[in-house]
Amino acid sequence: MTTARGWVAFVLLAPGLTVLTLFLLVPLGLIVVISVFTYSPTQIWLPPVTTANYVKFFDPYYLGVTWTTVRIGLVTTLVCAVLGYPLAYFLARLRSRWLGLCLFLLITPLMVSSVIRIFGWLVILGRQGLVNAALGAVGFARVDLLYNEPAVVVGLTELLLPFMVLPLMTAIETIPRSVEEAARNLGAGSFALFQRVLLPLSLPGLVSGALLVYSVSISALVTPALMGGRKTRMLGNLVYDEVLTSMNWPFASAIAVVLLIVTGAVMATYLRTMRVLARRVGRP
Amino acid sequence: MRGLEVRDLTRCYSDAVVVGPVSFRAAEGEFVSLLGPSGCGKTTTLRCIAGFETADAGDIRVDGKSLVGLPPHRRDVGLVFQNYALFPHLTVFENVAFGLRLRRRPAAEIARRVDEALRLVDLVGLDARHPSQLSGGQQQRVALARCLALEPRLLLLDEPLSNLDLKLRLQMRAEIRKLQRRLGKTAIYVTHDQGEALALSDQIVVMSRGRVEQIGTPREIYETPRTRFVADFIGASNLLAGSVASASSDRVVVRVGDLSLTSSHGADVATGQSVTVLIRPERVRLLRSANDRPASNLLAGRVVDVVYLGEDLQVSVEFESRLALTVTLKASDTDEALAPGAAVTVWIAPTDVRLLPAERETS
Repeated sequence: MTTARGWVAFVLLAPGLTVLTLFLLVPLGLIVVISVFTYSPTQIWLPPVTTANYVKFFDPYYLGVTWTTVRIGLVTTLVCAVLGYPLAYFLARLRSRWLGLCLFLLITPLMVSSVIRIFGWLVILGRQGLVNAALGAVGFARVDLLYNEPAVVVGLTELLLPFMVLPLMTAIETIPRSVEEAARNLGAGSFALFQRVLLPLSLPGLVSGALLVYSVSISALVTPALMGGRKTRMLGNLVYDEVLTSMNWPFASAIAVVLLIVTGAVMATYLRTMRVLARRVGRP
Repeated sequence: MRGLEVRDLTRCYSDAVVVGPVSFRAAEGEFVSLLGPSGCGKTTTLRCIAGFETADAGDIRVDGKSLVGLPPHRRDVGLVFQNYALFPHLTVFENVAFGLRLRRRPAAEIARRVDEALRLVDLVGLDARHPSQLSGGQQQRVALARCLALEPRLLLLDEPLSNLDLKLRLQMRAEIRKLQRRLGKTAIYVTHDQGEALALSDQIVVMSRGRVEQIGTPREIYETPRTRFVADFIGASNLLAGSVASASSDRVVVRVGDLSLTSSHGADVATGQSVTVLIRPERVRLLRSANDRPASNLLAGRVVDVVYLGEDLQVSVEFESRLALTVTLKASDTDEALAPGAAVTVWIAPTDVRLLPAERETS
């Protein structure tokens, strides 16, 4: 009985595990291996094992890019949470036939090619774009809205908002309306209701949304490349340049490993903080 | 006026669904039930008082001051929900302390008032539990304590017992009544359970299809229902269509099929008028001996069905004109001889024959 069930489980899991092993674990292992090999301009990498790639990374420039990457990830997550919460609440409480349309609109950014999506932003934020034209019309000087860090955050926020809203919405839907009404009846205004009831009860959704947004934004490539300009570069852009321009695969691999570690570290810290926070608001 | 006054409260959902105009009062310390089937507007009325729905017209006053326009959190009316609506992430203590903390009371006062409230609902020693660790009855007590801790001007209860099993329901019913009496709080209680309404209330507001059918004490509602709906909804009833054969100030004779029934009520009916006759099953008496024969309302019939209910016996008796009455008898007053097919004679006192305006059966 147990063995038969074991076999069924194995057969069902095998395809997924095979794909993950072949296309995730093996390449990841390869990256780790290549990251300690020596760079060769002619043969890309050579066997002598070295720590040079990692040593090279500990340079103010690369550390600066790492910090920029983490900062953009954190700010994007925060902006998505602030913008996404009211939206998620609205959608979770929407009892209307328009809900389907609203959800469709919400995930539209994910269905549009990133290049088209970003060219949209260029039209809006560019030097001759809509915003600057409007500012000019009311007598303000033109401002640089593109090719800086806020521009990258704007682009990423648009793309990643659904990743925040969908889990949050699911979490808010599980809070009975009567619990909200009970809070109001006991004297809670809108802010107290949010702070003391909605936020603690939707925290699991907020945590998963934040993890998704953070991990996707920190590995962004196209958005910073097209909206960040020369100054705002993220680790993904560095890896891309090293792989395709310099052909320095060992160094690119080292950067990738660092990115992985940074992502993991931030997530672990975040999850731990959230667990402590959750305990503090009285979860069992 | 002290207490609650609802005047011409109207809530329109669409042209077809309108609640109101509803008007009733609850004097200070009074227990008033809103009773009716689902969809009759009782919960809407309660939610308008709590401020979760906005009345389209009418006024709601507590101690003379209008609540209209105030948001729910400024109304100072306590609401107990059908599904308890406790905060799952907070302990029992924190649930009860919720409103006090919002009002920024000092910690010592909060501790004292939470303790008092939990003592009132007989729930001591569970402060540190979470709602998920409590039984339904205990959760309902926490919900009650959470309201009472704030000492609201008005206590609103929305079918608070309907999720409990029968035994617990009867127990909680008695406790709610005792508590409300002791605290002297004005209470508005929404229920579809006529037994609850009869047992708990000082006044019952019977509602149907968005309207108030009748307002009265439990005895008035049961004994002298004004409409067929009220008679039918509250208690068991035999409702028969008849017409007035003769009417004088203290004696009305009504023809129901081939039978003629005498009623001592109904000074406001005229000869020839169609009426609905109400006879409560437990007011019909079975006559055994031939020498005990009242002058009127003697009906000879045949038992067609007997249902044994333990305390009571429910007997269906059919008369010559295929007219049938349900009769409720004390099981202890009967014996095995009362079986289908048995010939019986029943008597109904003229005071127990009530006349209601004839109405087409719509509910």
